[in-house]
Amino acid sequence: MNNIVLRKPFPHLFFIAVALVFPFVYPSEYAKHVFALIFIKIILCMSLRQMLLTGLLNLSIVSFMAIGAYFTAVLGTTLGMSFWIVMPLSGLTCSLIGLFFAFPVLRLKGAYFFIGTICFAVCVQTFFSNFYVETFAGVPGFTPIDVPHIKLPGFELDFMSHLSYYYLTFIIMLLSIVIFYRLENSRFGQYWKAISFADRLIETVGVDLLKSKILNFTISCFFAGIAGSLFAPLIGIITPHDFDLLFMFILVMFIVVGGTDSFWGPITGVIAISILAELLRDFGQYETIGYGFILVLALIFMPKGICGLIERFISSKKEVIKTPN
Amino acid sequence: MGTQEILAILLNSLMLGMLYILIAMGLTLVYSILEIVNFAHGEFYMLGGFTSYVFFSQLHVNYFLTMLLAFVLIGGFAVIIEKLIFKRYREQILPAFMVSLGLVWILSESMRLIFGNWDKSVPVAFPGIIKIGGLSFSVERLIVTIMGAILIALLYIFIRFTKTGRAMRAITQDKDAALLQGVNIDFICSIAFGVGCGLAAIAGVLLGSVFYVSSTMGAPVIMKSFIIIILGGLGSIPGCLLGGLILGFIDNFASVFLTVPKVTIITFAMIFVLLIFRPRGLLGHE
Amino acid sequence: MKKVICIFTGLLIVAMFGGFGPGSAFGETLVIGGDAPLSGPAASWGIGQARGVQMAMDEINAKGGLNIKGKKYTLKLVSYDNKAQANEAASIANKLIYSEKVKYIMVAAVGATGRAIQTVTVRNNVFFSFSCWGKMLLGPKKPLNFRFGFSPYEMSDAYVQAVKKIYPNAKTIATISPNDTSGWDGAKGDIRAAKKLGIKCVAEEYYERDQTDFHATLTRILSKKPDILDLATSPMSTGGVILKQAYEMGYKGPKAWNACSMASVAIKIAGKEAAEDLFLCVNWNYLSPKFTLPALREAIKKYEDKYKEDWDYYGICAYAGAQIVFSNMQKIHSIDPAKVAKAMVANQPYDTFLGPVVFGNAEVYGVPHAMLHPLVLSRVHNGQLENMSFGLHPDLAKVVGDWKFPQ
Repeated sequence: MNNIVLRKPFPHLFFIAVALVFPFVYPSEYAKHVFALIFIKIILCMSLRQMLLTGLLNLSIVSFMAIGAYFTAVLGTTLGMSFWIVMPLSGLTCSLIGLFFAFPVLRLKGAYFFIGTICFAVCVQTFFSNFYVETFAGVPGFTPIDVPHIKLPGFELDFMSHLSYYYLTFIIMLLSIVIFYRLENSRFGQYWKAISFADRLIETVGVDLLKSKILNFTISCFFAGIAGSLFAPLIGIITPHDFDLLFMFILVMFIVVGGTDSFWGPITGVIAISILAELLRDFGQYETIGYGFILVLALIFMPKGICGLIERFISSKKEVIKTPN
Repeated sequence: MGTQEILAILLNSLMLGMLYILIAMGLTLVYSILEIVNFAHGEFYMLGGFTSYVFFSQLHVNYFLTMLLAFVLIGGFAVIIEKLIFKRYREQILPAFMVSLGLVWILSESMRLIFGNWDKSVPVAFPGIIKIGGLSFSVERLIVTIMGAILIALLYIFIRFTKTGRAMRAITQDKDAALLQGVNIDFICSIAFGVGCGLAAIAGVLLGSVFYVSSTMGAPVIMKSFIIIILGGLGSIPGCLLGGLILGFIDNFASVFLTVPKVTIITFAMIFVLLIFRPRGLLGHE
Repeated sequence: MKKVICIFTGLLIVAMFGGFGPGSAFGETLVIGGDAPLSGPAASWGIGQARGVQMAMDEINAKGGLNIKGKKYTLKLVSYDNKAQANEAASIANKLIYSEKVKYIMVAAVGATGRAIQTVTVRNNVFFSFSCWGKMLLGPKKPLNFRFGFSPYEMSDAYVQAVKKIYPNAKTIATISPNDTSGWDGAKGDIRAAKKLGIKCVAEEYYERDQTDFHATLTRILSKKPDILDLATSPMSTGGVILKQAYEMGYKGPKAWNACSMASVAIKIAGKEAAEDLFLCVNWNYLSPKFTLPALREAIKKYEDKYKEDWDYYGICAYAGAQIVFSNMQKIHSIDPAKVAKAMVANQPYDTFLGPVVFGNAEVYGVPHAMLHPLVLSRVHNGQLENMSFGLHPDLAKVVGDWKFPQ
């Protein structure tokens, strides 16, 4: 919730500065690729977290990412439209589809909502695997995918290089974080948090429950679509398998390990686990089992996530200062 | 497609349905008593399969003894896992789910690393083909179906008539009241987890010889179990029976007339619609 | 708060040197990349190929490495696990090419990952050899792509011809294959080949990969009474189950299975009776004296002694292919991928433990980059593989038409 970390802007500017100069301090192409992916995953996890504020675990986020990715791939590559038009359009399309889906699914609560979103996720994955294969390419994957480019008089930039893509995803992620932060601390955010523990009650003060939840849902879908839009040109190929429930569970894992209670939980979780995963690659065929052990151990020793651990650490220090010697 | 063939398909779906129901019942038992969703449930099924490979296939232990061994060994292992890992997550569905995801990787990869990359086969325990009314069925499948039905009945008897079973039902109705009645919650939770996973292990032994044993055989099974539980209602054991029969029917029968992707979409769309109008599932309770 | 910043920067420094840096040693090492599934259900393919390439490397390193214009190069294989996922494959390709600075990726399996890898290798002029099926993986726009091991375009004709020789009266065929591109490739390849020989396809069924029960599908197929049942691209264990169920449902005729590269697994799962009269073209009895070379038997024994496991066909082909690549590097004294690729086509035919090898099939792909070796037809009889005959692809026959196994 509102934790100590939010109050002083200094640490945030520090991290932003580090992120901006990082590519020049450590000129590794692959590192830029990994971080671009990390930024995309952060956008997804923040969308997931926003829905979690209302107490709903939305597993269809990965499907909206898929819709955004395929939308971008088809409009951008097959139809040759400019990425800068297609990206916001894919976000809006996902919001629209999300709106239609929201009406039935938001009538469900708790575990049943969870299951309803799983149903949607499976249907979307099956759809892209087997239907309209000429358009979407099905299981073997849609490739190649055009990268965004800017053509202005006197300035031309093709986002082929990892450096350009790094900054592109970073800026969009930053904008998303700002938007999510403002939303969470606004009137809407308060309603959402209230929904998670007293939804009947807040209706009595005149809040339209359904509208509030739908707003939350469609915003999450928008950002999931944007994330999908950024994902497609970065990887260069999209297959339905990339947007399966396993990936969705991994996104949830990022939030749980980072800390569900903190705004910074998803970001911490994504960065920590993604970097750990890169270190594990050297284990070859032992990578997956290593990943499993780390996950189990992390959850056993950090039940509130990394941010929870930091919180406890900081508040225990504060207590030491407070008690007179 | 003649009526004979349709009948064959129906009977065939009944056969496998029994075992998926058994596995789903184990999962639902764990959910109703520990209030966690164990995504690694399919892995205990897989461990049962490997138990069969080691004891029945390699060490030539009697088939029924292997089933008992699987229940005891894997069920016992499950109890240890419960005490070490899941105990701290009672009623916290999300962290428990994540931990079970980690367990899936640990268990399936360990089996692959220990037993090698190639899938294993288990010899047919009951060879032969039997002809009923002009249709051929393997004796093996018939016996496996009967065993499945017997185990489901045994589970029902256990929950309905034994003291431990009554304690379990008490916990699902009202945990605090059960505590007041002197029920040892921790002990019952461990037993429930052990029994649930042990049943999955026995199913692994049974299906291991019908199909094959693989370190990744748990994954499709857990998905099927979830569908059965959702259809039948979270936390309802009779619901599993109904859900399993419906799923078996849809899977086998509908794929005769439609392509599998269409069947998948129809199944999940149906589940979705079912949830809207009857969120508790067919027989579930809130 | 300051502590948090310190911890964060500390982690970042660790990650920089651990995670993104090259995993290889410094010095005159030629690093070859591997981007394949090393865990999970497809692990056997990735690991089999990685071991094959490693064996070829060990042979060269034992002799002191490659001698390129006086400079010594030790060969090293760096493989990462892509878990059979396309986006992982693409990321790993980026890591190999940008961090490890590889110019060769020689371990890859599973079609969608092949497509993902090539988006990165083609852009960076990196040599890419694989076992993945798929027509679009080879072509004039991908001059550095090579396939080691047969795909339906290389084997279907010779395969179906060989089966027809044994069953001259066969008039109909039915296929049952997974419902994805490699599944379609396998089924359609054999159907095309069968059609050329006057065998009609009476059923073309596809199933989802996670299906375990085939009662309904087999009911449909067997009602059409096919003379040959073709499992096409079915995976080993699933195929074993299909064979078993077909037998239980009364089918006792001949079976074909063009993707069966590890028959022993399938035979054990299906049982001896169900696997009887199964004809294979990418798995034969490697230790039998019939239709094999002594060098192949040696290679298999070496592998089984070292790894205590069976070796699959595509792993064996990765070994053969790697030997060819390294010998060409040595011959032309260059490790430049473009030069090596040209040399591989120019310096054929090769004398390998599989028999004579050429790179051909330009008719299908536009470039002759598919490895062709003598196709050995084997038959499962009493649970064992019997080598029956061999055949040469037209491109191979053109070069070594009158070659025979030393019998």
